[in-house]
Amino acid sequence: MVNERLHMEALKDPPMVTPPAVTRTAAVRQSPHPQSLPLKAEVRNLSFWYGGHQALKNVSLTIPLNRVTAIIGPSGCGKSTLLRCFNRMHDLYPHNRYAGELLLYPDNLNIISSDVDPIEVRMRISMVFQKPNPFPKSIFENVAYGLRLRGLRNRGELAARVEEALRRAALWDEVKDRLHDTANMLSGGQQQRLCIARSLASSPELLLFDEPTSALDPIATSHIEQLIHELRNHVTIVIVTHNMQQAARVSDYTAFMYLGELIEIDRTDHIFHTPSNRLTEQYISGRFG
Amino acid sequence: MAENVPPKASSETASRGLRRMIRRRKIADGVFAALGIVLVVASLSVLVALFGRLAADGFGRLWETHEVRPNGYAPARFDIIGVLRRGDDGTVILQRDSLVISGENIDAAKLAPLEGKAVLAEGRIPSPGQRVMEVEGVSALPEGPAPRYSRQNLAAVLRRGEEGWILEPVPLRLDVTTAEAEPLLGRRVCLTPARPYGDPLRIESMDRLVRQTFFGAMPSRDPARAGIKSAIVGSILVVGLTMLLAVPVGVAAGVYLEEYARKNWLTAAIEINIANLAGVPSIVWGLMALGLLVYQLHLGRSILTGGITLALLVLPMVIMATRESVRAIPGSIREASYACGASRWQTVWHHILPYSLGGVLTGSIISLSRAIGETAPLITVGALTYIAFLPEFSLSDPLGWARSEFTVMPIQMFNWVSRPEKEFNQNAAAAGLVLLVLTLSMNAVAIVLRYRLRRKIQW
Repeated sequence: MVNERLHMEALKDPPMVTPPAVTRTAAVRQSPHPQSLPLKAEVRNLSFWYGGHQALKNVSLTIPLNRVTAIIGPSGCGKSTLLRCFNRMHDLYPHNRYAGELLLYPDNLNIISSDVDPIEVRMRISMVFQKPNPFPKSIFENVAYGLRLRGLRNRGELAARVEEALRRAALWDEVKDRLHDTANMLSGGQQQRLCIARSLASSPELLLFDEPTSALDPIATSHIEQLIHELRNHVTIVIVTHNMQQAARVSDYTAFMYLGELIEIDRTDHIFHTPSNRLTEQYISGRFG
Repeated sequence: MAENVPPKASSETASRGLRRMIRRRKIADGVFAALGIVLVVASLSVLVALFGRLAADGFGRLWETHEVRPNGYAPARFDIIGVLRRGDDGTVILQRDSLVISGENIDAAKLAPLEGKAVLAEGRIPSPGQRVMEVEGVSALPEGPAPRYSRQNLAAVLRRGEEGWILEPVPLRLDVTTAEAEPLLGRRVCLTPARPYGDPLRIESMDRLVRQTFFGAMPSRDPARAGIKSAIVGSILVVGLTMLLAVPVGVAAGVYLEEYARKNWLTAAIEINIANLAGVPSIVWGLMALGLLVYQLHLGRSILTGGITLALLVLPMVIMATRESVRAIPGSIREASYACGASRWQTVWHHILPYSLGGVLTGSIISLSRAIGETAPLITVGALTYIAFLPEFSLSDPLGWARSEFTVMPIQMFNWVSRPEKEFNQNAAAAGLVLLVLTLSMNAVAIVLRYRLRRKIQW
């Protein structure tokens, strides 16, 4: 009830005007507004239904190329639902329905079109899940799986690509002597980095993180955050998080969602220092959520 | 500070009441624990008594052996058994087994002076396999050539052994050339004499003797010689066929229902019906198989019919075991596979099947161990109770064995139990032990497999 009232008030209020000049100049130096950058993906009027329940309402946002975009919002706001549209995860379950457009650049592929094969989408876009979910196979096989699916048979090349992915996921030094041990032997944080390596191995164009640190302890979390920070210049990243500090630390752009709607998307420092929407400000300052 | 001092008297009564209540609950705990121990001990001792009884009846029978001709036939009543040797003068002789003397007319005092000497024992020579000779009289063997072979008396050397007075028959000369006897020299043989007398004895046929165990013998009218060879082979072939038919079909159906089929009223109805089918009495399956397989499809009372019948019987159990272990795989693993770009079949083949293998194998083996003990449906489709042959395997007709008639262990046991002779009941108990060991070892394999496969897979 409280949330809904806040929501209604926020929608009535006009957006906040002119944020303080100091943060603005600092931000401009860091990164321009999302609209002015080359884009990797664009969401246009996306709606999504779980059976009769509409979880996303007319969401539109842009994902800049080789930047980290965070999606934040209170539980049940549809941020994970939105993320899972990007690799058509919703197709795995019955009675789910998409409407609108989700374009992947540079070739304008409408990801959610029923003409597009979800396997094609998933070959180009990788995902790291909330709970580490390595396959109960060896560490090597976990990372090599995506490559094998893409028909890579050459042992030497497989080994090289696996090593590269593990290095990029900052896991190589910890596992190089036990590549053929089962992945379940690893700690939670290592398992999650293994999942990141698995996603990176097949060189995705877009990497999705669905609350990647919510099941991890603070040290493992800082490892993963550092990793996302290092990956930002090579791959486009969309991260869903319920941890606002994490969004502030790792992302270039932040989208705030509430009750299935996109309230605001802007540079991260803008969202956290000078949000233009009152609802965003209330969420950021911890008054609900 | 005064208000902080608790009212002493009432607190003591309160804690006393509390303690009484706790004590009462602990008594209830103790009563239940004691009852549990008593019940566990009681059921275990009943179990031990039952198994002990079965083992006492049948265990000895398992290790008994007897001698037969290579074709499986036992020596006939007037056949002669012994070791074939080359005699000093180049003839072929038969060294018969020694016999123990029994008989009321025999006086130890009369026998004592004859010890170590050649004697002529009068009385009927026992049939092969028996070691005791009823003797009516023993006299010193007259000088001169040994008397010719006869069924009424035995020329032998009298000795004293642990079992009593023992007759060591003098070697029997045979009308056989050493060349003919060559392959059998030094071995135990069974021969049929052409006439019941003669020296050298003319023989009609001579065969090597082989030892036959309970496991290696065919069923027989003679309980001592009856065995479970055809029943074991029949059981293994039928259950093997059942496995070949039920496991692939059941696993495929289970995986299809879990991973491919849409969840709608039709699949819900199928799911309920599979659960119901698992509870259909086995004899009803037998009737269905009789009507469909035997009368409609004319498959006959064959191993194929039996295998299909049992496959139908265990199929619902295999499907349910498969569905259960597929369902135990967390959705996050499926999502990980799909997110890597795997197709549905790749997800099934690379992940679902390997990770559910433990549960699938366990369920399959346990349902097969149930199938191996099934009697009713196989009797219904016409498995026979007396099968003294094995299915024939040939390269020209690789599946010919499946058309053969058959019997299985439980049917053989049923047949033996229903016989009047007590010895047949021992055979049934022995076969019961074999069946028990067979099913227990299948279950043990299932447990080991589950343990080993589960240890590798954690979520």
